[in-house]
Amino acid sequence: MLPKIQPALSDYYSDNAEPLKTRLFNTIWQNYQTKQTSTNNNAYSPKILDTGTAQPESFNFYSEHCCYLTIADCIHELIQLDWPEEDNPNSVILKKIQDIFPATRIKYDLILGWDSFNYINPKILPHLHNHLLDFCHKDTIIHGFLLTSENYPSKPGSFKIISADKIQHSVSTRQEKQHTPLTPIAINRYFPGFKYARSVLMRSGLQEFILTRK
Amino acid sequence: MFDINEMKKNVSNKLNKADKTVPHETREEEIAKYNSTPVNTPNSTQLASIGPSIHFKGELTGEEGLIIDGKVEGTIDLKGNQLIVGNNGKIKADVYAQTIIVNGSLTGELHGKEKVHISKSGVVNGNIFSPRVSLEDGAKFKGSIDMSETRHEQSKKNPSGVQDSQLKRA
Repeated sequence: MLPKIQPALSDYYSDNAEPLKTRLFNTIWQNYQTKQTSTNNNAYSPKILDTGTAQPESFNFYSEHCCYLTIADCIHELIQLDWPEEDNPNSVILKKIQDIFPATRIKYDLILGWDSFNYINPKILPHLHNHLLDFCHKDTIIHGFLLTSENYPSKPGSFKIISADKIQHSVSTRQEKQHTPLTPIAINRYFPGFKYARSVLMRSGLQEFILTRK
Repeated sequence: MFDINEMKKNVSNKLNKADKTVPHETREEEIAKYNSTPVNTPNSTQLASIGPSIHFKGELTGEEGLIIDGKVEGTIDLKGNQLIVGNNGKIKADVYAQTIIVNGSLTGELHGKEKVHISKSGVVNGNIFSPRVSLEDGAKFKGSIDMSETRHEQSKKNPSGVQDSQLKRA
């Protein structure tokens, strides 16, 4: 049997200085810019739901693109959710997700999940998917990063948007943890309302991916 | 004897001299000057202030700049003036001002006609309506920001109107 080829954990840290080249993210923004120029300038403003924390660099980027932005800052709370041991766990977990990630009437064009899906309890992912559907219209795209290695940093990283094709990825911890890597097949199973549309393998075992609505 | 030409010449010289002593700043220079001003150390002599021991509930209106280091709940409307939330300030209010600088904590809607700035010690939970929003590294923000110009126009026309699209605050 062939040994599994995995990036060394140190790759996650050594590459921190160099921004990731994000081709899919770039394509998404090029599409928005095309829409903006073709629909009489400011008539179209993309609606972005960023599940990560507020980053000054990302703010600058969003403000250049004249968009409606929601910073949900919910990743840390979502990854701390454990599957409830109580009776009727489905409704308990849904309630917890709703508390962390309040509902809104907005339908977003783009949801940025960053690397959060790798860290959220897989049992919880289908419930998160159901909740996220309330934020989506028929063309909503989910953008994120898969970690393909079995051992990667124990906490999610931070992502700062330098430009559409450059995102700075930083890891705040040197502690590692064994994970079962989230595969495209698993993503399709956990997010049945979406399909795994495209992915690009990057350095350090990171894989940029987008999900589109079925 | 009164010489009108001589007088014109004198006045013109004086005006030229005045222009040199007080140079006109371009818009870019003004912005650069504003941005270079440390936001944590406002000139308090130009601003009214609410001290750390003050707890105010209700509608706070004024036509001058204000620095808040106490607790305020309700609405704050400073029209075309500056609001600074000091490091100790805790605000639970919808805020209307020309410029809003947050060093403390603010929960509510921020309507900054010109600019909203959240400093590294600032914590904001709510929605921002402003053409310019800046954030320092370390600042905490949770909520929505409308950066599209058409929506800003709507916000200016109906500053107190609750937008359908707002994130429900926990």
